[in-house]
Amino acid sequence: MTGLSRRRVLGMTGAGVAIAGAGGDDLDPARCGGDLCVQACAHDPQVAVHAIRNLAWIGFGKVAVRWSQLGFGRTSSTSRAQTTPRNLFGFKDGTNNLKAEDTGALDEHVWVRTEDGPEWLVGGTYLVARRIRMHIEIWDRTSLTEQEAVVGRGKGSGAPLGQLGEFDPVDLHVRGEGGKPLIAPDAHIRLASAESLGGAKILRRGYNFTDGSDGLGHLDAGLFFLCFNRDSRTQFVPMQRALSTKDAMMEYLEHTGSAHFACPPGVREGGYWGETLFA
Amino acid sequence: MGHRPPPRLGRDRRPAAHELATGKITGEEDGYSHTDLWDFRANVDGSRAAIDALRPAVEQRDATLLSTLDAKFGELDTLLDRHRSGDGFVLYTDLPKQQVRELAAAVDALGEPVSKVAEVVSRP
Repeated sequence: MTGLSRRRVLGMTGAGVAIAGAGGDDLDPARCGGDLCVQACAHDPQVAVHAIRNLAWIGFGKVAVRWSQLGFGRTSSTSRAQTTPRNLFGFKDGTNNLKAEDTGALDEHVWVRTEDGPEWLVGGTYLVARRIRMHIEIWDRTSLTEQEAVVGRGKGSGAPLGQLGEFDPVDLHVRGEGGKPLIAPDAHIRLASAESLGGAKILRRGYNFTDGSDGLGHLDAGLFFLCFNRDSRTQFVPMQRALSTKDAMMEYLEHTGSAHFACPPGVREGGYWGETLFA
Repeated sequence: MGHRPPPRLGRDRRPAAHELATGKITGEEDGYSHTDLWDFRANVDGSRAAIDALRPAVEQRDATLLSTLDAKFGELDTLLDRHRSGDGFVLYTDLPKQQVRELAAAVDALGEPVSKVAEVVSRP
């Protein structure tokens, strides 16, 4: 792998993206890092698993599977053609996500540019994967008002607090009784907003997961968070740092896996995957 | 695996008992390595104190809830007492899986009625 090692980018390490001071991390080394990443998507998990199985088979002797995660559903809409799905906390997720139709925003936040380098990755992107265990049972014991305060949106409508419709713009400055902001200082959507992060946005494209139970009567379930961004150091990392230290939702979450990968640009007519890197 | 951070206490929006349920017995086998059940006991006591402060209001509005709470706290006390050793408790890591499961189930059984307290006392 020396050929690849020489081309490491963004200080990637086997342990994934290093996030200084990230509370709520309880990373299992067996669910972290890796040299290569393959994502297979299908309407039926049998098809996706079959694809991975065959790719792993082809790779025996050259590569070995370090870890894998099966997900289901979709935790963020990524196109205006989709209705916003709900995550395992029961909230609409991805209302304010970058959308496939916003090609200008994707160019700005997702695709690596010439000035970003390295050259082989121009037109590609960085993938951050985080296995986030969600303490579903604890969440279910939390009152609706509290859940909505934690998220910053209504559970039924998906509307930002202080607004009526799901797609009404988030206004972080609306104040309610006693001058308190309707969207609390530690609300998830406030901390994750571009407004709070100096304009940083990411493209989320995650899945729910359920790996059975934990042996103590609780679901081992959560969000297999996947996001794509141009520079994880200035987009994902500051966002995760803000969330891990201030987000009220962290009380219900535990990050158990983490990885970071460079994704080469798409394949051109007559080309092959990774051509810019291997040619 | 790393240590779980200690549960954050003193959040103003939810009862202290909530911390008991989130902070302990989460299925992370070695999440509490080298700790004993002192913290667990302290969390139960904290929850109990929080509930006791609301006792008159709960009694007046939902006496059944109060007796359920007392019963579930009692069951957890009994379970915890079984793990006393000297002045303290046995190490969490020395507990057989079955006993950890019993504690988890008792915490869940208590968490349910505790979660109803805030709603009951905030009724007009």
